[in-house]
Amino acid sequence: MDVLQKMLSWLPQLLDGARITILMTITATCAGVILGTFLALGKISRNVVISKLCSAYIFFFRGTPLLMQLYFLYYAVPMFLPALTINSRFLAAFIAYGLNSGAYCAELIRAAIQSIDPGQSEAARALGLTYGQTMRLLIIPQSIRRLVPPVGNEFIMMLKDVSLVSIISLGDLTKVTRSINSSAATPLVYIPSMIIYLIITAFFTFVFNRVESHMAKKE
Amino acid sequence: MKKIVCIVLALILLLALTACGSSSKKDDASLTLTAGKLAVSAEIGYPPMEYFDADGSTPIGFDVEMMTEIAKRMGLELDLIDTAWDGIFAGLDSNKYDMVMSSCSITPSRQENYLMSKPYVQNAIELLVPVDSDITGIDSVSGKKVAVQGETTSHDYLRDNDTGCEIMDYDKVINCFDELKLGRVDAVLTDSVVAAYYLGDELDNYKVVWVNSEAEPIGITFRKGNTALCEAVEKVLDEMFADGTAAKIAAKYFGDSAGVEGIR
Repeated sequence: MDVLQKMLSWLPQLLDGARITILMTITATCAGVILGTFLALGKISRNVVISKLCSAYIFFFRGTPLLMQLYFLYYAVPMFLPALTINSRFLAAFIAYGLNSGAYCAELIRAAIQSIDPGQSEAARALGLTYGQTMRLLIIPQSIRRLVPPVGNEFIMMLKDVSLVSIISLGDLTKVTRSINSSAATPLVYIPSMIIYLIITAFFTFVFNRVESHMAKKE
Repeated sequence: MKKIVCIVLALILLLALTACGSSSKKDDASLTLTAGKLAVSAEIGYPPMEYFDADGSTPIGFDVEMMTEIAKRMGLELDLIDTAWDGIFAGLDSNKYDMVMSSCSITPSRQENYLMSKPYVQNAIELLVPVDSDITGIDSVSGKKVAVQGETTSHDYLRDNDTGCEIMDYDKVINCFDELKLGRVDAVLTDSVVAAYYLGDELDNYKVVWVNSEAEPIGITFRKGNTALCEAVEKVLDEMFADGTAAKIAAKYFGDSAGVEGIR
């Protein structure tokens, strides 16, 4: 009973951390999807320069650790280029996570677009639709349906990646947990903390499943 | 329904895992966890106490040389384990190493939970600010951002005393100084041994405006009840202080040996 009481007393702090974790996950994944859409279209573009640029971007952000990107953006960039100093921790982390997620989402979106039978766009072009119209009216709406499961996956990955923000002193759920662990000198706090993570994951899994079945109905 | 079962099963698994305590056994005949080896934990990244040489892989520093000498005199092989500060004492509890020698300030709460050696170097916490700062001491940090390394005595000080400042805590002490340099925080509260090192070539830019009157000398941390090892190490330390080895190492890293004089 004593243990339960202790866990309950940590709850307000943990929930405060969870708020940052959730907020960061949602905003960064949204930014990632938007950025990823442009990167994906850029990568499959017939313009060689744009295509190569987008490929290079994706290669860089998928090829280096997120932790290092965060460190680099927050600590290293301001040392080289003082004009690019970001003083808000949340904003800095949001930019790092958004840029990183953009690269991953780009690959998901590219795969979704390319999974649509090329015969469809050929038919659309034969009917006189432009490339833009074909994409906007035909390919993208269908890709979105196929995108829901992988984006849901990306979202849950992001939820846990956000735990890296402790390095820039931003109090997400993991950081709060670790602080309580050391100040209360008990690792017990990991239990309620992991339960909170599971609850968040369960909730968003549920949401994404609902969206998925809703879209399937429309098909 | 299936999902609920899933969640419940996950929780049970979690609880079952936590119920399995660690059960590493200690060889009774040996002073240390592994016979012939002295496993020492340190958070390497705390100059001049324990940090990596310019090559980025060779640990050096006052503590490192002290522990090397201790192990040598005890006839043991030194096994230095680089550990994150946050969690360094938990590792001691779970028998990951024999002792922590990582600039551990001797505090009543640590003495309550662990066995600490007699001090081997003098230390106190200090408040570092940019030269042009309007902060004149710990009384004037209200509303300011003060950087500390997480879970250090500096962090404890800010949590226990109502200074009115915003506490920013980082994993590595270097990040505190980075933040100060970038102007994202107004002050850094840290151990005097470290502050002195960083101030070394930045004397024109930073100044110390406050030193805690309560000294926090540094000692070695052992598991509670591990008196045999503690006594053996204390004996070696005494020898090192008596024959001037400690003073020599101090002079090498601090510039002078004032920090170790008369401490034991």
